[in-house]
Amino acid sequence: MTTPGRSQVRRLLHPLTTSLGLLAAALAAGAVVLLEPRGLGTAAAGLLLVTGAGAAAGFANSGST
Amino acid sequence: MVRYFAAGLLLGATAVAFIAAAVGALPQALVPAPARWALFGVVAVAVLGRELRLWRLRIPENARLVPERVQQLGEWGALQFGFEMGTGMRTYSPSALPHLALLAVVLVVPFPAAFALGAGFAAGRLAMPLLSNAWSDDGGWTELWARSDRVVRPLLALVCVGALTVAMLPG
Repeated sequence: MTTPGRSQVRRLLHPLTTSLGLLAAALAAGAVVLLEPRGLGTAAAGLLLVTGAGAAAGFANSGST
Repeated sequence: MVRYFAAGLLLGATAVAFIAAAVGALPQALVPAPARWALFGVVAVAVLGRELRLWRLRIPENARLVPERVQQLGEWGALQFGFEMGTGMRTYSPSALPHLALLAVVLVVPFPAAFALGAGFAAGRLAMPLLSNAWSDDGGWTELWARSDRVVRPLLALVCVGALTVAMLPG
C-alpha cells in the first residue's frame, strides 16, 4: 500500500505534472517577453522559452524508451 | 554513472545544435525572414496536427532498439550512449517535436540561442530516466506514460510550438 507522502511524491514525478511544469514556465517567460518588449529580463525570458521548447521536445522524444 | 550519461546527452544535443545552426546560417542570411517563418509555420502546423492525432505523418527516425546491456555500461560507455541519445538519432522517435526543433534552429532561431535549445533538449531527455527510476523499479513508468500519452503529447507540442513562436517574435 502506498503511504500518503509517497503518493504525493509520485504525483510530482508524473509525466503530466512535468509537462504542466514546463507549460507554467513557458507561460511565465512568454508573459515577460510579450509585456516587456525590451531589456535584459526579456532576453533571459526569451532564452528560457527556447530552452523550454527544447526540453519539451526532449521529453516528448524520450517517451517510454 | 548518471552524470556521465547527462554529460553525454548535453554534448550530443549541443553538437547537433551547433551543426544545425552552422547549416542554418546560410538560409538565415540569404532568405527573407517572412519566407523562413512561413516555411516554419507550415511544418509547425503539420507537427502540431500529428501530435494532436489529427493526422498521420511519417517522420525520419532510426529504427533501432536500445539494447538491454545499456544498464551495464561503464562510465565512458554511459558518456557515449548519452551522446548518441542526445543527438536524438540513436533510436525510435515517438514524437516529431525534435524534428521541428531542429528545423527551427536552421530557419528561425539565432545562432547563440541554438545552444539553449540543445541544452533544453538534453534536460528533457534526461528527465525521463530520472523520473522513471524514481517512479518504480518494475517498469511501471512505461504503463504510466502510455496512459498519459493522450494528454501529455499534445501538451508538450503546444509548449514547444508556442514557446518557439513567442520567443522568436520580432522585438
